[in-house]
Amino acid sequence: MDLIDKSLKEATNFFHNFFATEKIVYRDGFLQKLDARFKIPGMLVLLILPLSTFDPLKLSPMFFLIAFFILSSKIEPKLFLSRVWLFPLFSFIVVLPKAFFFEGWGIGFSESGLIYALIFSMRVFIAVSILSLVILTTPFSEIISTLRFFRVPESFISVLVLTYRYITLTFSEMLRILLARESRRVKRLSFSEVWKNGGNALGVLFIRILERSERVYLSSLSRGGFRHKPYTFPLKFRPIEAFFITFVSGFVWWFIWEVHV
Amino acid sequence: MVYLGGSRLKAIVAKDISYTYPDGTVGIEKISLQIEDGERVVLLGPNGSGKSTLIMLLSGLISPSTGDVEILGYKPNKKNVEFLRRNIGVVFQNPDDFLFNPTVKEELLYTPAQLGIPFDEAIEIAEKFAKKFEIEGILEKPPFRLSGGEKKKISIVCSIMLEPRILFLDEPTANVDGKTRRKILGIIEKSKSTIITATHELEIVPRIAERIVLLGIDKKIKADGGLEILENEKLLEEAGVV
Repeated sequence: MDLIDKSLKEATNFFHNFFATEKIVYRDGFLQKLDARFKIPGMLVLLILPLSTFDPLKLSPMFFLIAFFILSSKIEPKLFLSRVWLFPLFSFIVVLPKAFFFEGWGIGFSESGLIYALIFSMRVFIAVSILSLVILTTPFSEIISTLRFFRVPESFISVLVLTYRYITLTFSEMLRILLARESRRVKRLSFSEVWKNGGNALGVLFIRILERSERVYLSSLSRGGFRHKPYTFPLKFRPIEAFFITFVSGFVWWFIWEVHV
Repeated sequence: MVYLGGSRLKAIVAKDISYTYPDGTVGIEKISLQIEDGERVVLLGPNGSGKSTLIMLLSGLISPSTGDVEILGYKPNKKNVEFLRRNIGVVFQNPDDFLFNPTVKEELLYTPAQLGIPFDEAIEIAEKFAKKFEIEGILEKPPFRLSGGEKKKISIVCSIMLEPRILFLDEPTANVDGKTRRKILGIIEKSKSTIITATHELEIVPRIAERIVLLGIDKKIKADGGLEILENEKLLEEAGVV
């Protein structure tokens, strides 16, 4: 199996699993218990906070916060890390050139550039972790229901629902094509053949997605509608929600105070 | 409402309908059909004879290129779409096209939510059907992780749980094991709806139909009648079914 196929298969599996959270979402954990209408805005605030600073001393408590959420929500740390590691690594590789500069005919190394790349990746890790915590602990229908509650424009919600619906479709279709190609391969391909076949596979993928998306659209019509209308429930404000609000407010107050002092 | 022939309500009336896909492929050609309320019809035909296209047209999901379709007395349009969706269930050939929610539970609650059925009532119906079809253990699972037979079962449950007046089934027993097949045929036999089933499997036809509409590879009706069509081997051979 060549590198392109292997990478595509790995990426497909990774993203497919990223959205499949059935094991965790219904556990009896801290974040799972929270009403999504408190949890999502609270987590959004926590997601924005690290974007306001590059100071590692101010960012590092966020790691403890994430660890607290992981443990209190009964999420296996290994599983959690397997979901988020790729994003900071990718951003680190993208920003890493900042640690090098041209010096005459040679290349110089900048310590501050490396620190910048590390902190940048740290921020990405925190943001992706918080987003991942929300996805892992909130059923998709509740996320949509919350967006409706906050009067997010209908067109935005529709785009989100469609993206979610078709992302699974795209990856399952891609995986099917890759497995079918693999099952019919009898010899090792040359580099040019790999690229040519890869291009063909991509073309087939687009055609198949287009055809399937039309059928999915028709099936959603047959089931009563195109725009997703999830059930909404009465707002819950219990001690757990009060604790979460106090906790997030305290953290925000400390973070802003720390940043400004 | 349309009453023809003086007695039973016509569930579906199709007059000279044809459908051509955007790339020029002919889906079906000049088909006229009347299906009475409560009737059990099988659309029998070989692969590529237009059975699935005909189901899409007769259920009002796509509009014919030429001709007219009336469902329960209404021509499908934006004004009556909710009435039609409430009264029509469609089971697609490929359950992967049909199941697009994150969990089986959300699949079951999707249609009731779209049609504005109160949550408590929807949960009650979903639980009743989940128990009846032994899918309680997979309610929290994402549909794409299920086996082909389970997916098919879920899509059928989703379509029948609101007891539609007309139920369309596209190859309901294709690619399922014996147990699931028996269960599906049992559902069709017990249902009180008007049922239109597309299939190319001759052996299931006597169990689920009182009328056969035989489609040929030329995408036209070859014969329309009772179960005696199954005994006409020459006709079935001409149509490409055997």
